[in-house]
Order: sequence, then structure tokens, then C-alpha cells
Amino acid sequence: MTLRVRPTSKLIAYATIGTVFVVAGIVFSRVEAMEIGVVFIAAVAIGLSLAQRPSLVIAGRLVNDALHEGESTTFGLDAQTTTGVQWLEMKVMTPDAIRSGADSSANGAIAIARGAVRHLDLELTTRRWGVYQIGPVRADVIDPFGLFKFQGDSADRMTVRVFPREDRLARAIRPAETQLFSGDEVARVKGDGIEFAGVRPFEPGDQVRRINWSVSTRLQKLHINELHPEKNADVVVFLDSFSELSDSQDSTLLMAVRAAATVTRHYLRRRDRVGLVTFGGTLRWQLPDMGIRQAYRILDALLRTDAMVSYVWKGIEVIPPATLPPKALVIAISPLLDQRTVRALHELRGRGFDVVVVEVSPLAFAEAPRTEEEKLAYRLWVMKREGVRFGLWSAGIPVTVWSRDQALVHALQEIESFRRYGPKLSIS
Amino acid sequence: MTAAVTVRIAVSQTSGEGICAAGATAGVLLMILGIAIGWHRAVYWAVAVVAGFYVASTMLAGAPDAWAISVATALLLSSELAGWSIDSRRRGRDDLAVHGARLRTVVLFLVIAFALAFVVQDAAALASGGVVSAGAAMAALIGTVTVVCMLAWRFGRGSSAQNPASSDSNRVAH
Repeated sequence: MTLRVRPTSKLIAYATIGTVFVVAGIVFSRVEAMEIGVVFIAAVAIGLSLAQRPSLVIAGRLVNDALHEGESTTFGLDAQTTTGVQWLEMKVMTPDAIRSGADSSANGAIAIARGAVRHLDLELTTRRWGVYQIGPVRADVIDPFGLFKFQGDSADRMTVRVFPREDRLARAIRPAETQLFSGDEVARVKGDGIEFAGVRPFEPGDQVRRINWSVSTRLQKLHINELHPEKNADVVVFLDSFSELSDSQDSTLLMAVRAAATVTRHYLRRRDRVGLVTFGGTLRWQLPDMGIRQAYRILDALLRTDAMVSYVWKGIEVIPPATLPPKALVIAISPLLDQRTVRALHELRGRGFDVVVVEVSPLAFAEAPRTEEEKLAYRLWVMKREGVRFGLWSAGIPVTVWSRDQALVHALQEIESFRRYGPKLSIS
Repeated sequence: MTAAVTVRIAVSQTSGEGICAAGATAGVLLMILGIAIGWHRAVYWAVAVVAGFYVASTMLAGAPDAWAISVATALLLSSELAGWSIDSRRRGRDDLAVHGARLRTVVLFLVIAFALAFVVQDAAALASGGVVSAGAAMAALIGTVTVVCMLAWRFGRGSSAQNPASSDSNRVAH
């Protein structure tokens, strides 16, 4: 590691004080000033004569480079010196989204004997999802007298992938249509399965083991049980990344990606095929597929999501047709801040897709209005949003509002409620 | 230490003792502020301010101060201790060896500074040329001490190089 040397403020201050007071002592013939100057000059002289350039090698190692939000990992540091250092401070450069442990020993100054290797562990805690670079490690070696600082950066840079935090959903939105393959979703059609659907009179060709003997005895005519088959479904997560509102802690996009990861994992666990469309300044997609590999493909695509400002009008025609299979359940996760998204959702519904909208509420991220004009503008904005929501409801698109202090599963349950009982309208 | 120097200024029988004491007190307050907010430069400026008002008070008094050696050493010590306090609060938990090395440094500074200040005072009292000759003598003496320190340092490093067991004491198996 190449170390750059620079004098500390102590060297400059001591040399200045010493020189000034020695000169003052000579000019004014005051031995007191001379003594004070000599004391500080002597300190500088000793420090300069004994200072030497240290030799230092630092190697960093990340124990785990794939984490979920909120998880911690250990960053191991090996420091080796051939000259010995009596005062070494090391700092691992981390992005804001990764917090290093404050009470870790790597934050304090250490001393290393000549030829020795010192190992330190630094705990890193992730705060938000994304792909980040850890490093370089900055080393500050201060000479024993505190007069020089030798500073250098190690070349090590490690990449850590932080996956969005996922909630475990007991149940999510039930697709209106199912596909051909076996799965966990009870189909609305009747066929071979285990879920009871009803009873009908026996017809030639029906299986004998399906005869419902109780009903047949009572009605004196053969009846058989009808069953719902368990099929899989196609689910497309439609993530709106046109715009976001944020505060220091969170943002609508962070919440939306967490929701997308949660929903994706839920449906893939149920052997459904899941695809992803990130609809925003940059269009990204992942064709529907099933299995654990698809989960990581989608998570990797989600990690690259960012809100990019774009003024280009985009509709669903830019989305590759294979991304949206027929009879797919489209779960749109959006703050509904951009008209292009709203328009695209209407178009998807118009083409017969089963569209549901999880609205990531941006109200918590908006600044509270202070003046009367601001309050009026805020009310108009809220009413306009309700108008957008009502337009979606009118088109048969269920909309559920998910706020930051609410569990996602509760918001998803409102979709089921909408499908069963219609929208709960509230006029403010 | 700086407070003690301030008290020393205040008790000296000079005509402008009030001004000097007030100035030194301001220096002490600046040092306290520097320690509180962790600003090294404020500490050094504070030491310079206190030292300046101390010299001014001795000039107003006219007679040489017998406590000058102690005052000079105390100012250096206060600067070192204040810097130590700031550095140790700025970081997490430091190695004990870091504090041990710092303690050795402070002691070395104090011993050599005290000895040199003592020599300066005696040389000024004895030399016919006053502080100018004393200054020249001091320059020679500081140079000698520096060379001795350098030689001692190099010699000490050469000795420890022949004893690899001592250099492995900090090795951590992993």
C-alpha cells in the first residue's frame, strides 16, 4: 500500500510556537519566552529525528456478499507491517446504505508489532436494498509523536448485493384465471382435483369412485362429486419506476421493490410462473418462469431498479408481448404519480388482463402543508388521486392503498374484498 | 495545567496583571472549548495564547520568573494531554499499546523539555551574552539530543530485529 505523508496540525503548531517564542526571547531578552520556545522546538526536533515511513499491507474480506435488508455481515481486515506501527486507524469506506458497527474494534486505533499480522472484524449492517461497493479501506498511520500522518487506500473493493426485505405472505391475491400446469391455485373450472365443487347426476363415462353415495341413496339416483383442480397461474409484477417520493428513511420506490420481491417469492413458492416488468424511464422485463432460479433472476432485476426521469410518452406497446401471457394476473405496484402508468394500466385491462393495483401511498412522503394555499393544493392533489383511483375502479381494476405503516398482507386482502363486495368509496 | 499557569500569572505582582490574567483565562476557556468540540488547532492556539500572556506578565514584572521551567513544561504537557483526550474520544476502543506508546512519548517529551529548559535558564544566568548566547548553546544542545535520540532509535530497532519472538507477540491466529 502506498502511503502519502503529510504533516499534522501539531507539527505546524509546535514549530510555530517554538520559533515565535525563541525569537521573542532573543528580541526581548526574556529567558521565559526562550524556555517556552525551546520546549516546543525540542519536541519537534525529537519527533522529526525519530519519524520513519511505515510499511503497511491491508487485505479485506467480506464473509457474506449477498444479504437481505437489515442483515449484518462481517468485514475481515488483515493488516501487516514490516516496520511496526504504533498508531493505526482504519476506516472501511461504505455507502450510506450500509452502516458499520460503531463499537467494533476496527474503529479504534491499533498498534501492530513489526512483522506481525493483525486481524480485525468490522460488522456491517445493511439499511436498504441495492448493489454496493465496500471499500477501499483507508489507513491512517500516525507516527509515535503525532507529527506526521501517513495515509493510504487499499485497492480492495468488494461488491455486496443487498436483496429487498421480504414479508412472508400467508395468502395473496387469487388469480381470476389459472393455467394448464399443476399448482397450488384452486381453479374456478371443474375437473380432477381434491377441492369439492358440487354434486351433479351421474353420466356415462364418469368415474365410479366419485359417486356420492349419501346423495345417491337419498335421491334414489346416482350422483357424483365435482371437484376443482389445482392449477398454477401466470403472474406478472408490474413495477412503476417513473417517479418516487422519498424522505430520509424510505421512499415509494424502496417500498414498491420490497412489495414486488415479497409478491414474487410468494407466487414462486406456490409453483406459479412469475414475470417482471419494470415500467419507467428504463423499461426492464423478465419473462415469466417458475422456480428458485427465476426468483433470483427477478431479484437481480429488482436490484437494478431506480427512478429515472423521462419525458417520453410510453404505453404498453413497448412491452414485449411474451412478457404478458394470456390470462395472466398483473399486479401493478405503483404510487400512481405518473399518468403514463395509469394509462398503461387501463390499456392492460382493456386487453383482458386481470389487473390489480397496489398503490404505494406517497402521502406519508409529501411535506405537510403549512400555509392556506398549500393546504388547498394538498387537498386538490388528494382529490385528484382519488379521481384516478375511481377511474381505475370504474374500469374494473381493484386498487388497494398500501401505506408505510401497514403490513402488505392487509393491503392485499382489500383486493379480495373488492372483488367480492366492490370498492369502499370514501369522499373527502 | 494551563489553569495553573493562569493562576501563576494572576498571583504575580505586576501592574498589568489583570489584563494578562484575563487573557490567559480566555486561553484556558479556548482550550476547554477545543477539548469539548474535539478541535486540535484550538488547543494549540490556546497554549500559545496562555504562553504569550505569561511572557507578557513576566515582562511587566521585570524580574526573571523562577517558575518559568515548570510553566514551559506544563504548557507542553497540557497540549499533549488535551490532544490525547481529543484523539481517544474521537474513535472507538483503542488498543492499550496505543495509549502506552503515547504515554512514553509524553514522558520523553517532558523529560527532554524539562532538561533543556533547565539548561536554558542556567545558561542565561551564567552566560555573559545573555539569552543570545543561551540560544546558541541551546541550538547545539537540541542538535545533540536529536542525534542521540536518532541513534538510540536505530539501535533499538536493530536489537529487536534480531529477536523475532518479540515481534510475533501481536500475531493473531486466524
